[in-house]
Amino acid sequence: MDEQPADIDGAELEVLRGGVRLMALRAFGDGDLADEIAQETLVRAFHSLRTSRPERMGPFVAGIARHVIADVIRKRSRPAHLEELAPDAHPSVTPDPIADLCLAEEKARILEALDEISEDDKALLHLVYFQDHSPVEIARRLGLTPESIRQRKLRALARLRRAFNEVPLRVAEGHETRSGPTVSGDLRGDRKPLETT
Amino acid sequence: MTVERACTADSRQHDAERYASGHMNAGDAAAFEDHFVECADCQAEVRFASAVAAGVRHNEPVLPSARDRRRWWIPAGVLAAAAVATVTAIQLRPDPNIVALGHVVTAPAYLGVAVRGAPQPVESQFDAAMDAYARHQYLGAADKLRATLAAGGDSIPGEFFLGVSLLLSDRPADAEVAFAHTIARGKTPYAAEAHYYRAKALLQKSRVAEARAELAALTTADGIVHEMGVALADSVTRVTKR
Repeated sequence: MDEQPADIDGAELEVLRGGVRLMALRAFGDGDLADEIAQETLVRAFHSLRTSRPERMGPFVAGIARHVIADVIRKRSRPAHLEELAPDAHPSVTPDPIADLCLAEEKARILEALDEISEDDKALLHLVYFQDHSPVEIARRLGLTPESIRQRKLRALARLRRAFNEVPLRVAEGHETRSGPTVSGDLRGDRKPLETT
Repeated sequence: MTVERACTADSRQHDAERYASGHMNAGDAAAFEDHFVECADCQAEVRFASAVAAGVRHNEPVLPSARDRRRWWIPAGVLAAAAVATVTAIQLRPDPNIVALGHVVTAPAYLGVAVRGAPQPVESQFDAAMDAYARHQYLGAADKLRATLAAGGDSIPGEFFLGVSLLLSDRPADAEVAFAHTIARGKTPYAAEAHYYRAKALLQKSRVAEARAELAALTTADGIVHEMGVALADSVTRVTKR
């Protein structure tokens, strides 16, 4: 039996789908799985809202998303054997989750823009993104002042941001349409639940 | 009670960079997620930061160090005395092309303890270390793995991922020691990759002959790791012939 909540607006949840999908993409780097997790999260939120109303919807839904993601991680960490893995699932060739957080077109534009910045600036960005060094640490490593590091980073990112924002609108819209079914159509009815635990 | 998070252009950029690159601790990441699920600007910033991180990783640069730069700064007073020493310095200076071959673009993924070896009880310390590893927090992962090993944790995966974490934290000298320990354990599921990544660490230290020896230790029975080793050995040969 479907209990109809009095004050649940599906659109209120639907606007959070993109953010939940981003959380799932960061965790797994798998667009299809991210869609499933977003759907499962919104379904759980929809049902929880029947009994209580949170102070703020964002933290409430993000918390549910973290639970769903943790469930999937637990399920995935079950024992397995190398022989069971597909060739492309070898530990050394597993795709990078970071790469899937953005569109291929966006990454391509960034790659083009990276060709235009100096090797030193690329090295600086590498230290920022992959070594988690502070400007002071980077300055010491590159033999420069912290202020010059900040300025160079800002300059490099400004150039990359211009390239990133050049992504045609239709592509950005296409990204949005990759999301799963809408709340109003799919949260209450029959659906196959995401297999978690 | 939840508190509304301040959202400025600066905070967005900083948070998105750390979130996308996995350098946020779990508490900060959760707080950021609580905010960005409702904030289109922050979601866009995360996508931008992710695109930059993916691009930088795809086109990994040779990282210069302060010592590299300072090597060229020689006080005028010692120029004459350094005439002979210069020849030696040039010979000892690492070939950046060789060092570049030692860099690791994509870390080997951790798929769970039971994937690679005999069933072992999963220690919470090891789990915490591998959680940091999965989030690209390699320095933190290395610290936690050392603590796990000190506490008597399973040394085979522990040493291997310690080596990888150190390699990705720009500590090739320590990394090659950790891989040597893994290799010394004999025929384990990690042995082949330990040879491969030890070769990478040695290349970063310009120890080319030792790196070649590690790659030569791989056999066709090692599958894709052997193929990767052959490709790396070919690259080393090409670079050293220039």
